[in-house]
Amino acid sequence: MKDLLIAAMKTSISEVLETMFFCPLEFEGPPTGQAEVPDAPLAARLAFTGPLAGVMQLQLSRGLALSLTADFLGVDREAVDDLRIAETVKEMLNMFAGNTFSRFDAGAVFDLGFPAMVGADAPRLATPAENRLAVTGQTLHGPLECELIVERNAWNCTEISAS
Amino acid sequence: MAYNFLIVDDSPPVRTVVRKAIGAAGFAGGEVSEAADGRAALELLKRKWIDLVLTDFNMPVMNGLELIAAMKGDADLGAIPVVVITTEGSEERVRELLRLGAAGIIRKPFTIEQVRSTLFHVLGVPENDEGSLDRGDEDLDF
Repeated sequence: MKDLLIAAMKTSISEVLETMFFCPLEFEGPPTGQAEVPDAPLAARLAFTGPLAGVMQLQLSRGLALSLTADFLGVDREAVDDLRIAETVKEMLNMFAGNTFSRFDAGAVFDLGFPAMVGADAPRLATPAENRLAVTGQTLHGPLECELIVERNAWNCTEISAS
Repeated sequence: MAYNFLIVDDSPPVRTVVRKAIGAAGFAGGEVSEAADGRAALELLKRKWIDLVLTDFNMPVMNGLELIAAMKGDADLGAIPVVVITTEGSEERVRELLRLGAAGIIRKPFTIEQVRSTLFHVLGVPENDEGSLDRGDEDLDF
């Protein structure tokens, strides 16, 4: 199940970034259970419930976020302020999450919470490494990392009809 | 013919992108209004003539599902087509939206072509009949 979820995350993130942000992305290395946080002052988080429950978190540099926001809105970088960046990052995470779960199991209903920005120095969620999945991608303007944290160990759940 | 649209989404950048997609799809002549949630959308619908609503699913105050239900239960608003633009992809939710009366669903991420095709279909504009659309200033040639 973890492999299917990782694959769904990667495909979703790539599709969202390429389709709506015109940003190609390459994933680095094998998925890890422990997220590596590069210089990433911006982070957004949303909670989800359903067959799996937990949190998805997105981390990226301000420079990358600014570039993605400008491309998303079709405006010059100079026209982008912190508010627009935050709103775009939250929506990006929303699309990552929705797309990931739809790909993972189209037959299941996942409820997504509203994304919120979190401080870069916010305490990490206390979750065993076995319940974390993280993918890191590299773009022309820097890396981004998407982390999935499942609140309870449901990896052995056989109820999900993985697509 | 110019069409008036209402975009309902709690994300300002999404409203901007959808607005641009409507224009790029060939519907630049009418008015595009915006609302941040279903309740604000209902209030606006009582004041303005809207030909088509594009709404998100997951919103605070009143979500897309509730908005569709409220519109379909209103004699004045029931006939206005509603297209849902959403990350929601579960088969059950899609069935529920269609059962309640959604005229179409566009999944995020979306392309301009997907928006164009859906709007043409829902509004009943033939795909090869872009000449009938009022493009506003786009048609002016100096």
